[in-house]
Amino acid sequence: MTAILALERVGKSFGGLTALSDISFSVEAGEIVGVIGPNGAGKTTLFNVITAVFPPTEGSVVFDGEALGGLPSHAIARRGIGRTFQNIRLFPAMTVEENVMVGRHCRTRAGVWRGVLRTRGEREEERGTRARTRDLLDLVGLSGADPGQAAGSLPYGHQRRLEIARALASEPRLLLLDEPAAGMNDSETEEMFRLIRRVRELGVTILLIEHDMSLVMKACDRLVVFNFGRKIAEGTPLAIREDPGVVEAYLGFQEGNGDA
Amino acid sequence: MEWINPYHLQVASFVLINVLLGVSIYVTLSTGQLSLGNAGFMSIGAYTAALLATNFQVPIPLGIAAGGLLAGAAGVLVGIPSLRLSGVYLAIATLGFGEVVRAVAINWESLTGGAVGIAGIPQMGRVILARSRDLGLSPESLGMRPNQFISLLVFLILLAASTLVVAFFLRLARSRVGRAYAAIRLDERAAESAGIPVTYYKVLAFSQGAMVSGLAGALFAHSTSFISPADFTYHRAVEILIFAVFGGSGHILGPVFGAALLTTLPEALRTVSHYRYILYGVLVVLMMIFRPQGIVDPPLLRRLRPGRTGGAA
Amino acid sequence: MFLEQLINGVTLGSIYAIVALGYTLVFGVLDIINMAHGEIFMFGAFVGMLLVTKAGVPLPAAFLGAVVVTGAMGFLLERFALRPLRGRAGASNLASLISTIGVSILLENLAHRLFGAGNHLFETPFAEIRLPVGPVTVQLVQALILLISLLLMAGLSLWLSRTRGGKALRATAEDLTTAGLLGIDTDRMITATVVIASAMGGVAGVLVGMAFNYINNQIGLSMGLKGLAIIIFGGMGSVYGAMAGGLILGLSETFVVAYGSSGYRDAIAFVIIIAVLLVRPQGLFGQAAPGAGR
Repeated sequence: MTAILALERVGKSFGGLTALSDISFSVEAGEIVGVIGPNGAGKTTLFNVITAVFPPTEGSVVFDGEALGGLPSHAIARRGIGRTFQNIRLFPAMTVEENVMVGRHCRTRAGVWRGVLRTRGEREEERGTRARTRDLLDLVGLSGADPGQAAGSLPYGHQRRLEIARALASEPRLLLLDEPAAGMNDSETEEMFRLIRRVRELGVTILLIEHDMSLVMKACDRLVVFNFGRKIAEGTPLAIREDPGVVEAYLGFQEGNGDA
Repeated sequence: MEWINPYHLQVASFVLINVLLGVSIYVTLSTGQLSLGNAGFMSIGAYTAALLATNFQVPIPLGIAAGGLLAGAAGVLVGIPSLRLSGVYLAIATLGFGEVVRAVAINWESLTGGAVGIAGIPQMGRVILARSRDLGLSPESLGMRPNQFISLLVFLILLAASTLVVAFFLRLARSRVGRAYAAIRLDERAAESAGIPVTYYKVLAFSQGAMVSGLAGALFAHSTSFISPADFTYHRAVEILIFAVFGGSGHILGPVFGAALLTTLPEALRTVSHYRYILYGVLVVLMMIFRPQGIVDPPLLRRLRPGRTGGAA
Repeated sequence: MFLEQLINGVTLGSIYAIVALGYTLVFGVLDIINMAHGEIFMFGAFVGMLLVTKAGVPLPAAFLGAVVVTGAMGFLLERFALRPLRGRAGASNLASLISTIGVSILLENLAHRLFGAGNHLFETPFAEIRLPVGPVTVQLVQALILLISLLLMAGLSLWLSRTRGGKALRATAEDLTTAGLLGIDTDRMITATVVIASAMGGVAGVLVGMAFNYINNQIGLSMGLKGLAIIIFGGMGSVYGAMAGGLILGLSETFVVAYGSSGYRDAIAFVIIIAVLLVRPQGLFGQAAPGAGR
């Protein structure tokens, strides 16, 4: 196995405020790695640094053997890193189908003229995009939804899955999921678990931020634990559960606060 | 052929030029960017076409194309630095750009005729009339007076141009590029993360808008045969904005509707036209409060055309 | 000659600075550009003109009148064109920008209906008084303009840094939501900001009348455009940037007219905008470059 993603001493500060410091870990191809830690530990910042929403101030992010330094977000998506957002960011006024089609953007080519003249190549490409979109909607369990309905009018749980379909449309090799099961009940969380496994079976490596511990323990091969912008532990779910430092810093905290 | 009224055709021609201008601001707005410099781009198109025709006897269609292209190129130059920043910067930078263009037009007297402007620009209708007389075809043989013939020709050329432009952007909206525009307008960061090069498309949309403004300006120059810096002031830019704000900026038919209504209404209601701009001001504020997407929006269009679904958001 | 031009430039620049401060205060707190600020400034000038030239009241009363009228206009602007848009889902800061453009169209044409399109004389009783200061002569009017603008700028700086109200305003500018959580009545702070900014515009209007001796219904537009150029140059929302930017623009315009071509005077501001966007997009005193995604 080779590392598909490697973080080397990554740090990020905003002005004087350090959000991440000295983060190093790697993700092997085909793994599901969970990123856990209390709120404000820097998990979402980690995703934003990997996808260059905020480029790191120190260290480097290496994807598939190449450093991503200096690349803009869209180029990173093109390289093969897809993501979802903690507070769903769909295009609410566009249809369900169009949302996924937007995700195909970096894998399709038709420009202004071919789009306006509707050349044969363009029509073929659009057909391919639509077919692919249908498959992805099936995969995430939205085959029952009206593809022409506005994405913003979907129920919450469906919006989460639509966002995953959009991310998958760009054919990522690494998918970053930011709290995909947030706000879901037990049966919805169970379905999300199965979806994550299905996505992995397609050969997509997954980095997962999640607060639902039962989901994390069940779904992930390995966990990386963050606290105050630093990595405090790394290992299998079993080892992490036993780690006294982690229990003190995070798990105990979590139980004391009820469900998060 | 008495029913052909040159005055009505002239008003209709102004409507069509304003339709093109409304479309020009819509194209930029369709990526969520506000341009207040379309009067400047319009004047680049108008002066380019006028100067090529009067100084170098360049054929009119060629001059019009050159006007549009040069305005589009200027759009790229203005767009690249300001589009890296938030939308407010583009609005102000384009506003400033329009004023710089006007200052140049007023001060570079040897080229632009200064504040007086350029007269004697070949008028499309008259040029075609002369050509057809040479070919032995006279308006009289069609039962028209020459001025009827001229205004009809101008109207038809403008109708063809604006139909083509509207069709172009209607199709674009339903293509891969159009989806990218819509995604950028709705959520830039999500669009970028989904793999859309946001800055590239913003510059593209902005320069397309500039090009349409330039085209409108060039057609304007060859319709009126006289242009001056007073035709391309900040007030013109604001008027263009009002077409889109009132008509709607979520679908291309919005600014088309806005331009058509707001150009004909003051002609029809002469008594109101004294207070026209005061009413415009109130209208803009009320639209922003109660219907920021404008009168025409995609849900309204869907209701008007039952049975047809789909289309771009 | 040079010294006199320098004084002219500083005088003009200090008026520009006050206009720009009006924009920057509102942008700092609300993150929006008040496109009607130029027209509010113009109404200040007209009120001052009516009071001084037509009613013959003393200058301080004219300032007071202009401040009251423009402050009230700021209040109405906030209440009817900005507040209804605030906090509404999907209302971007472009919506507020367009809404204030609507107000500016309304005010400009209202001024046209009320005062006509021509120039109006703005007579000050001491327009002709000149004071010899060392090698140069200074007009009393210029000295007065400079004094008033410096007092206004110093007062604003002190108010922002020393008083409770000023601190609350800065907190609101820093973060609207947090300020609200800390118990600051943000709606009131926003209203106060727009009113103060507009009243400063009113003062600047009277100063412009004093400086140029005439006004018309186009000064709102041209001064407004310059104010916008200055805040891009100085850095959006930066108080000191507005002051420095105003001075620099006033000086460069004066010297371009004195030693170059007067026709391009009004274009200098925009050449500055474009140059700044290319070289230093955050402006002279701006902090980090504002992100494209907000």
